[in-house]
Amino acid sequence: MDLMEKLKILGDSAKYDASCASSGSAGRGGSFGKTAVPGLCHTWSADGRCVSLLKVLMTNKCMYHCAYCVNSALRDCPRAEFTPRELCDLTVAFYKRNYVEGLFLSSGIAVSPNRTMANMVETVRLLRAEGFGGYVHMKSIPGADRALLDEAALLCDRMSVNIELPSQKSLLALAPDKSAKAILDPMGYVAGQIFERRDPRAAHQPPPYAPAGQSTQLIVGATPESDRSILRLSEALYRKYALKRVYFSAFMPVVAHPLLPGIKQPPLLREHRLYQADWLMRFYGFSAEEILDDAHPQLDEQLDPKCAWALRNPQFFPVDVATAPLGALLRVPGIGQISARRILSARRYGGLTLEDVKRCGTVMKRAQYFITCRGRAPGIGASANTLRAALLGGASALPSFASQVSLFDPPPGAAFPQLQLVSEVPHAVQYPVSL
Amino acid sequence: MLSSILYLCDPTPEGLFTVMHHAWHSDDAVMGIVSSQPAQIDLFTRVVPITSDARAAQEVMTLLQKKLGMGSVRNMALCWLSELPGCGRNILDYAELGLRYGRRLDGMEANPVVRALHAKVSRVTFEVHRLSGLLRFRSAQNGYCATVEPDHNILSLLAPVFVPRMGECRWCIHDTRRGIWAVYDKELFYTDTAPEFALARVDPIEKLWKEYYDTIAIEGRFNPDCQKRLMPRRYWKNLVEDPQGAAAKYLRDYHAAT
Repeated sequence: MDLMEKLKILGDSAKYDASCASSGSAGRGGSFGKTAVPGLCHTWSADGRCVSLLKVLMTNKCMYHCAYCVNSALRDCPRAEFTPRELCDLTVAFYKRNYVEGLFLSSGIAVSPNRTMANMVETVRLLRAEGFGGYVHMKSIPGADRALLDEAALLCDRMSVNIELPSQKSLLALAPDKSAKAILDPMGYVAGQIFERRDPRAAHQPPPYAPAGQSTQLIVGATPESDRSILRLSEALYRKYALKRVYFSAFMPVVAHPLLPGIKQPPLLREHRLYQADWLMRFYGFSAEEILDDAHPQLDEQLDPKCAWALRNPQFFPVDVATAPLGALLRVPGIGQISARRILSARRYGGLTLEDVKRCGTVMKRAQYFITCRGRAPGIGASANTLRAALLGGASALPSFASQVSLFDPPPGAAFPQLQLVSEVPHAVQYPVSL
Repeated sequence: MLSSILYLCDPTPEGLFTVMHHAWHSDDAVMGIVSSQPAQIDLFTRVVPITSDARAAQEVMTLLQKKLGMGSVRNMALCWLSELPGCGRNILDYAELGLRYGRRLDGMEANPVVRALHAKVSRVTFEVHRLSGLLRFRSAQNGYCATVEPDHNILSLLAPVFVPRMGECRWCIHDTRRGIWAVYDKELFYTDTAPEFALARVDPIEKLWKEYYDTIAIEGRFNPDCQKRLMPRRYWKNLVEDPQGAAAKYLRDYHAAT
């Protein structure tokens, strides 16, 4: 089988992995190749996903019978295998032409976890021996020896193990050869090693050990778990294993199986909402419990999770852009990390007008119902249903700020409720958020 | 004083700071600064060409650095490289504000002048980032050669990205829009003539990349709008892969299967 054929088969079988980040690593030096800390995308495929790494499997031969997987032993499809030298040379050739940031290496388990992992480690060892200083993301193979995990982590930038199914029960049903323990064991081991080696006081910094941390992936929509349990699991993974990312992958029916739902299209909107919620947890100081609780186990498909939270928690609003702390600004729909920081900076040089707030990058379409600016707050007193209609695009549901900029406006306070109605809300107490 | 002045200078930061030196030493009303002869000027505007003067530029930079800080000087230079309409006037206004407010200048995010300048700076730095990924080296005689056609004058920011990435081999990047080359041959330099090794040759690796690119889109997630939003069409012609062809192939396969 020639290289072209192998690349097609092994690229095709690796593409269902959602992760393609090349971020988070300051790199390890080398005679050529360098990582970019924020990551770098090199192209975008026809599905709109970015391509940053050469994402391939070492082999798609696999002895496991996971029902959801394209490479399952149950499937009849062409199988191929790279040799470490082939893959190393291919990565260098792609890198030198600036097609990719490096290598993303995963694998089916052809003979044993150890054999598989040893082959993968050998590939990266060859790459590093060539002087390659670019990015390498490698899968930890559940069941492989710890010595191999250590060797891999010392050569790679990021490690990952895919949990795939968000509960023990689903795992038992759909991935009979894997156990939750076998999956979490390498993740826990690598997390512990990363943590142990992180000592800023050390005079001699140890060699980088998976400097870009670990990530994992959960399949969404193949099993009956709610968004709430998925988010709670992600939160626990971030806390316990200090993961850099949890990826969500909308379930794509590639193999027919009696236990899998017979859907035609992957639940892409649900996946999108989960990512939004994930961002709220990682960058906006929200906890999983705040985003979804017992009464609301699923994310709202129509509204983004921040708006949905804001509608359920009217007692937090309005937020005064002139005085609110960063944590409070970040909770306003329509204000993001960048606009919040701009507002903080800008208000030190004078009172902000509505135009100023907008110029800082705030999306007024949403923010206008949740902020006060110079005493005006059109959103106060409106019911959650009215606000919901307004956010969904019913423009006339509420008087908006935009319609107030007129010479013939009524004096402030006459048409709209005044600030003191809500000025007793002590923001500093309301938001247990520190970023 | 009936006429206002439009300064014409180099597209380099040195040209910009030389003009600022002139503007500050003249009593005329300055309308703006441009780096190419404008297509149309009105009756009351006078175009004054200025030759770059390293000493004058350095004088201005030292002063601005002392009063505003290095970050603001860098912002002015980046804004100038954007070559966007109105960038010259924007820089003059920004500098004037800066001389009044000093180092606080960049914190005034709500000020229209500061915000407008920061927005131009972001467009420049974003294009550098984007092209760092979208640039494609093609195998040449004994080296690699890339062609770009950036919106902004970013070659001097883009080329240094590849110095640690490419190692010791020879390479060059050609900005076809501006007719300038960045060449790396033991060291990085800029020139307006093509280096002798810049002759593309047939490269079997390109075929591998194209095949790989055509393979990796997931069926059922086809989303060419998203693809175009993240990778605008104007950058496609210098790619090796063919996004248009890949999308068409995808659709053909899809219709054949259903």
